[in-house]
Amino acid sequence: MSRVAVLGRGAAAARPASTRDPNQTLVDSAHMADQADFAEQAMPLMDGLYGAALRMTRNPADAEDLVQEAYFKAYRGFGGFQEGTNLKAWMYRILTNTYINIYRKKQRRPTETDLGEVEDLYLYRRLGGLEAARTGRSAEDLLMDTFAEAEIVDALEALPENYRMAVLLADVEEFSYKEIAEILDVPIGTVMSRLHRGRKAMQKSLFEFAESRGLLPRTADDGVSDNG
Amino acid sequence: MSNDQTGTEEHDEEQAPVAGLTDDPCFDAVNMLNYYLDQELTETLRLTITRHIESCHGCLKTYEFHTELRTVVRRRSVTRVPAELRERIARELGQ
Repeated sequence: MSRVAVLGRGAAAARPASTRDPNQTLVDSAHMADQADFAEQAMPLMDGLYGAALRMTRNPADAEDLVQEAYFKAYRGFGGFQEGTNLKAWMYRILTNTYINIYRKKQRRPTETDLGEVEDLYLYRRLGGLEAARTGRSAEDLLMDTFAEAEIVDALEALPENYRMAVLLADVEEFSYKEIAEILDVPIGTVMSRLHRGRKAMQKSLFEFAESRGLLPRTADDGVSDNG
Repeated sequence: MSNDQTGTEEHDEEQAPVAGLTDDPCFDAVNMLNYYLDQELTETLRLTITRHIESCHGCLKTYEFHTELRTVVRRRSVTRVPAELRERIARELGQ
């Protein structure tokens, strides 16, 4: 059988020409140019990195510390960043490593939690029949109405860490499998497996949160099949 | 959702679906749904599935639903970094 082929998504943009100050010494000027480049290229990534940090740490104060630490580390290490490679992926890798170093030290045991079995198409089997014919709404309206920010955030944060990171990097940040493998330093097969299971578990959480918070359309019960 | 801690032993993670074609196009479409939406399929497989969902109402509905689900997850996850943090980091970076 054919393997999944990774398409060349997210090719890094060429770095702008460095602007060196002729009054600096040679060594310093090379260093300064790099760091000026860094700020210019890395600052626009901060919203996404902060969002990821929030989902990792699950609280704003830790997320702020994490983002700041990751930026300072990246700034100091920017000389080692290879031109022409992917700065965004490099920044997420630093963020992830910083998170692991700071927060996983506290809990030394591995965080590979058993997610349990969740059937494929979990949410679609429960909500897919509710659109158009029953409620007169499109899938888009139904999903936007049912899941507010709180439900999405809670479902993502309910995932065990390994799955949460994979789903976050793929579904929110839209990294390719290859990039996620590099960011998390795991094989692509592991990325695919974590996405497969993590997405199913997230769908189950979404459904359960929406149900327990009374957010499902009233016809929801009619749409539940007994297959799983 | 509570994390069920009863299964504590380490075991291999459930494998992701294998990308490839069988003699059941609807099975294939669902099996490779995430790879398709992730834009990770080879061109041949991508085209095969595109042709199938264009002619199969059930699979088209399934794809539409999951495309919208992705959109909702992404849109609901948009976060702005606090201005104060952005300024502090910019200052430290000499901007």
